[in-house]
Amino acid sequence: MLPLHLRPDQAIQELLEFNKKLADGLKTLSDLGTLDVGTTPKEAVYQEDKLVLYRYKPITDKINPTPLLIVYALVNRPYMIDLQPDRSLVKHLLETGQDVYLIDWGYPDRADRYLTLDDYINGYIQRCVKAICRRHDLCKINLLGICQGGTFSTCYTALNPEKVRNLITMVTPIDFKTPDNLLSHWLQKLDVDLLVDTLGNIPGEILNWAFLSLKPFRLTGQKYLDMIDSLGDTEAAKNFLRMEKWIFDSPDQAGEAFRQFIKEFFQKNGLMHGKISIGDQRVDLKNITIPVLNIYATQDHLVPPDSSRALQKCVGTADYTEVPFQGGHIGIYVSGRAQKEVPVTIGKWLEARR
Amino acid sequence: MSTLPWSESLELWWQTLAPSIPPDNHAIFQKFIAQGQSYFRFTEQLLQISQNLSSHSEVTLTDWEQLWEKTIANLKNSFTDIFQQDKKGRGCFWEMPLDNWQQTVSSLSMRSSGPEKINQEFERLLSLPGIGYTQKWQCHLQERTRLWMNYQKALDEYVSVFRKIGMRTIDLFQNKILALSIQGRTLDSLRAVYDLWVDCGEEAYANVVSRQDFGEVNAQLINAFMTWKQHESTLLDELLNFLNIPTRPEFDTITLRMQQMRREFRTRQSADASTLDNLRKEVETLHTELKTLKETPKPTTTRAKRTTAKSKASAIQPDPSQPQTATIGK
Repeated sequence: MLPLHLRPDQAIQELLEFNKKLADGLKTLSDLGTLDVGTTPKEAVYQEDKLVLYRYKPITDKINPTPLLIVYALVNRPYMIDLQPDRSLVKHLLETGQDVYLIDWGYPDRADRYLTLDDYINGYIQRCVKAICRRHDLCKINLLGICQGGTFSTCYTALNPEKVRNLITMVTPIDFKTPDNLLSHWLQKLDVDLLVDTLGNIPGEILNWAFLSLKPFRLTGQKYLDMIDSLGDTEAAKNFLRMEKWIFDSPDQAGEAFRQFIKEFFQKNGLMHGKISIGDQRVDLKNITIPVLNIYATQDHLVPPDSSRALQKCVGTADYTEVPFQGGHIGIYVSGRAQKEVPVTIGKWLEARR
Repeated sequence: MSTLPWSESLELWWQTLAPSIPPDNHAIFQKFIAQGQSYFRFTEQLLQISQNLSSHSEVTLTDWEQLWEKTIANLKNSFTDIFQQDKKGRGCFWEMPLDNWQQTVSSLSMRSSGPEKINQEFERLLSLPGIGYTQKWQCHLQERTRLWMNYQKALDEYVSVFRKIGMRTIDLFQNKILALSIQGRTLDSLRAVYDLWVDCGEEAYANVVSRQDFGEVNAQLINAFMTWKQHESTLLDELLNFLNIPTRPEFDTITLRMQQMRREFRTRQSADASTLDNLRKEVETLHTELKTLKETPKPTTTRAKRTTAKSKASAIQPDPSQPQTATIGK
C-alpha cells in the first residue's frame, strides 16, 4: 500500500467541508457578542497607582483564617486564573475554603518606566501584604506566586520571612539557565540595555512575538485550523476566544524592572547563585524556612520543569513539597484536569498547615 | 486540481463580509481567513505532488519511493527559488514566523522600513564626508542608512535560518512518509498530511533554534533593529528640540525624578508609620502603667495605715517587762 493516497474526489469533499466549517464558524463568531472574563465576584480593597488588590467573595462557611494572596506575573493579565466559571483556579480555591486575594498589576505606561523590582517586591507586594494583615489583624499571610509572580513571591518571602506563613509557587522559574529553556537561550545575547534605553517600556507585542516564536507553526497556524473544526459550537468558540483574548492581552513592561529581570535573572541566573539584590537587600533563599509547596507542569515549554524544581535545593525549609502536574504552562490554569487537581492539592496542603 | 479559486473566493467572501463585522473582531476573523487561505495553498501544492505520484499507473512501492525522492528534490528546488526570489508569501507556511516579526516591528515604529534595497555603490557614498552648514544632518542620514543596512543584513541572516529549517522540514517529511510505507500505513486525507507537515516543521524548527548560533542571529536581529530605532529617536528628538517641543529624554528625566521622589516619600511614610506605631505602643504602655498605678493602693492609705499602726503602737504602751515582739504581734 502506498503511504500517500489522496483521491481527488475525496480531497474536494474535504475542502468543501472545510470551507463550510469555516463559513459556519465565522458566522458563529460574528454572533458571539462580548466575552466575559474574570467573573468570580470580587471587591477592590486596596489601590495604588495602577495596581488593584482584589478580595474574592468567600463562598464557604468554613474559611481558612490565614488569607491567601495570589501574585501573578507582570507579563500577562491575571484573569487567566479566573477565565470563566468552569475554568477558574480562583473559584475552586474559594471552594476549598481559602480567603483569596489577588494583585492586578494593571497596564504600566510611560509614567511607570522607572519602576524597579524593588518597587514591585518591597513596594507594591509589601504594601498589599500589610493591607491584608491589617484587615485581618494578622502578622502573616499565605502567598501563592504564579510564573514570574512566583519568582517575585519567592524573593519577597526570602526578604520578609516573618510575613509569610506558607509559600506556594506555581510554574515558577528559579533556575533560568536549564538547557531546555529556549527563551533564556535566546535572551543571552540580547542587548537589554539598548532595548530598554531605546523603547523605554517594553511593548507587549515584543513579548507576544517571543512567546509565539517558541512554537510558531503550531501557535500561529495549526491552532486556528484545529479550531475551525469546533467553531460551529458556540461554547467552544467562546472558550477559544477567551484564550485568544488573554494571549494577546499583554501589558507593556516597566522598562527598569524588565532590564533588571532579564539581566539579573535570565542572563546572570542570579537567583541560583545568591546574587540577586532587591533594593539594598540580598535575596538569600535559605531564609525561606516556612513550608513550601512547589507545583510545576511536566510539559511546560515556557518554564521547564527543572527550572522550577531547582527551588528545592535553594530553600532552607525542611517542609518542602513538590507536585508535578501532567500538562503545560497554560493547561495548569485552564485544563479540565487542572480544575480537579490543582486547587484541591493547594487546599489540602494549606489545611494541613493552618 | 487547483485550489487557487478556493483561496480567492475566501478573500472575496472576506471583502464582502468585513464591513458588517465589528472592528474588535476583525483581527480574529482575519487570522481564520489567513489560515484558511494558507491551508488552501498548501493543499494545492500537496495535490500537485499527489497527482504526479499517482500519474504512473501500477507503480510498485520501490517505483513509488523513487518517484517520491524525485518529488522531494523538486520541492526543495522550488523552495530555494521561493526564498531566493525574496517574494511575499514564502510558501505560505514559512511566512508565519517571519510575518510575526514584521508585525512586531510595525507595532514599534511608525516607519518600520528604511531605505529600500541599497546596493554596494550606494554604500560607498555613505563614506563621503559631510560638508557645509548641514554637515551634521548629512552625517546623521548617512549613519541612519548604515544602521538600516546593518539591520537588513541581520534580517537576511534570520531569513536564511528559515531556509535551513525549510530544508530540514522537507527531509523530515520525506523520511516520515517513507517510514509510513515501511509500517504499511497510509495518509489519505489532506488534513492528516498537513498535520504531519506541521509536526515536521516544529521538529526542524526546535532543532535549529535551540542552537547557540540561532541565539546569536535572533539577538542580532533585535539589537540591529534597536540600534537603528535609537538613532531614529535621536533624530526625532533633535527635531522636537528645534521646534521647542519637549523631547523623550526630557520626559524620561522628569519621570525618573518623580519616581525617585515617590520612592523617598514611600520610605519616609513607612518610617513615619513605623515611628508612629512605636509611639502608639509606647503611649499604650504608659497608659497601662498609669492605670496600674492608679489601681494600686494609694500611698496616702499606706501612710494612714502606718500612722494608725504608729498611733496604735504609741497608744499601746509596751510593758517593758513583756517581750516587745509579742506585744506587736497582738
